[in-house]
Amino acid sequence: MLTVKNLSMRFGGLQALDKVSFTVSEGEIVGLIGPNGAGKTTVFNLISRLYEPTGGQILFRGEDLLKLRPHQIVEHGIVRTFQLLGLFPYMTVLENLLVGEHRDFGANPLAVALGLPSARRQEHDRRAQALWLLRFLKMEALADAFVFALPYGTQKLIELMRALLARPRLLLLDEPVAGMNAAEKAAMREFIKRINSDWGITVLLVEHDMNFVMGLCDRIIVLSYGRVIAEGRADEIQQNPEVIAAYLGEGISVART
Amino acid sequence: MPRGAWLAVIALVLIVLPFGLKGYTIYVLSIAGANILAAVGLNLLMGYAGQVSIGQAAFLAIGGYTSALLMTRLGLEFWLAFPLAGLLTGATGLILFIPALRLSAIYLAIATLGFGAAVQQLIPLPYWSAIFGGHQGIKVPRPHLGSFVFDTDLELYYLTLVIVLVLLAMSWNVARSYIGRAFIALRDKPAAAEALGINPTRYKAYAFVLSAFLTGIAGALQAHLVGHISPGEFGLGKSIEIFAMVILGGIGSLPGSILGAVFLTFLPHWLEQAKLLYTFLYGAALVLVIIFMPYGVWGFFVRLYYRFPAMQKLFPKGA
Repeated sequence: MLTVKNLSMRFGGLQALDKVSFTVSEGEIVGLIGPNGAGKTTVFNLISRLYEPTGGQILFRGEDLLKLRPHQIVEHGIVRTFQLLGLFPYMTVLENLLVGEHRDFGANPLAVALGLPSARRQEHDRRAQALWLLRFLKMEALADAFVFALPYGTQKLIELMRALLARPRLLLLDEPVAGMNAAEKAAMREFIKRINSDWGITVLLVEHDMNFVMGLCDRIIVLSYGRVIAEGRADEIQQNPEVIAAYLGEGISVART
Repeated sequence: MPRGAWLAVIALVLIVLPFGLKGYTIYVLSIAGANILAAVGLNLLMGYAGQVSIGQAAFLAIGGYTSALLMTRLGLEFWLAFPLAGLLTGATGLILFIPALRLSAIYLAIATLGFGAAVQQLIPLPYWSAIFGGHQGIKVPRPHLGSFVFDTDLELYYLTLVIVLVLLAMSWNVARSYIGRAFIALRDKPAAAEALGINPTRYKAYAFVLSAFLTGIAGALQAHLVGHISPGEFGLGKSIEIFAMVILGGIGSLPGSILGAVFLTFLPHWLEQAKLLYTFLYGAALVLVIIFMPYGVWGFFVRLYYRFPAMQKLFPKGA
């Protein structure tokens, strides 16, 4: 489904990504992990076309993503969330969700200004869709709340809901459980599993919480200093000496005199 | 009371408002109507789309001259010349849209400043003074529908009322639609907005065209109300005045722009008696409002609303 080939990204003197290659197949939940600064979010930013790579290719269902502009990515079925909340703070929850449905809007601006029935119906239908999702998650009481006033974990969930309303085939989640407590994390894990199994959405996620990643992902890709150092199932990754070295540092045995 | 009832009450108040008022006060009310459209036009651009402009007076001038010249030079009827002036001014909004694609807020402000200065300087040049009337400007015909001429202050007030209400309704529809949400999304989190499919080029163009259209209509309306137009009215001071209306009323709020425009239209008239102290008091009033109502006049009322439950009973949410 997603094929990343020899992807490189250089920021001035820093080689953030060095010929990174991996694939994500339809229906998978794949985790992208690695120590801070390994280049995980850079991969996301390249897929969503925020950066222009210095080398390599990104293909999605046979399409060359590097030919597209950032706002065209969603039309191909890739939607992302952001590490530091991508919600619009001065909008209500419902309005945020409606922006998630932006690709399903498109009434003629004149029809919108004149309040013609076609434009009203579109707004009405999209609202109904967003409210349906809020009710589905028993969050309809929050519809008119301003986003900035809500707890962090709730905001993360709303951002995920907003991404779902954009009808993704591939969902990119950047640290979906950062700052959440154990109960919220468990709920989020179940929710992502359901999105994947019931709605058939493929998931690629970046996360620092190892328990969360190990318990959720079919396959894990490990980045360190901009290179892929390991790839495999959770148990394989946990045994991999290179991964252990990358996380704990190679001098660990010396320090333990 | 439900929303429809409130709108009916407001409409009724606006209809009976001029009775018992002096002709001059009615005239100033109409001018306030034109200013409301200019303030709403800038608020959609600046408050919603996050694009700063301090050259809006140029759009007022373009709208005013266009409507006047379409009537006097091409002999068009008012009902045709007036909206056409708005549409043509809207098209000139694309002149500012081009630098806006490359420049961020502060630098864009300078570009719009230059645009405002250029238009004001171009109008009185001798090459076309036969058309634009040079520094003296030109006479602007009264609005008319068929053989009915809107001549008295009262007639002009009702014409203004209809025009302003129609355009406010259209602005409100746009602001509350996916287009208004796209403006805000691009302003606050451009990367997230684009990731959800919002094309920044398209919506910036929408914002500039919409803003120039409303401001052009405001300029045309003002020209027809005053009966005369000259380049001296459209200096930096005018652009700043519209800017101040938006900020005082509350940036990002359309009701705020209405309050800001009415307040700043009437303030000079209230202060007239003060003569020498006039400019001082005008400045002091602005400073006081900005200190005690940092979120603008409308923001001030919204905060009162949330502080006093009695107000929430009187004006239920969503009204």
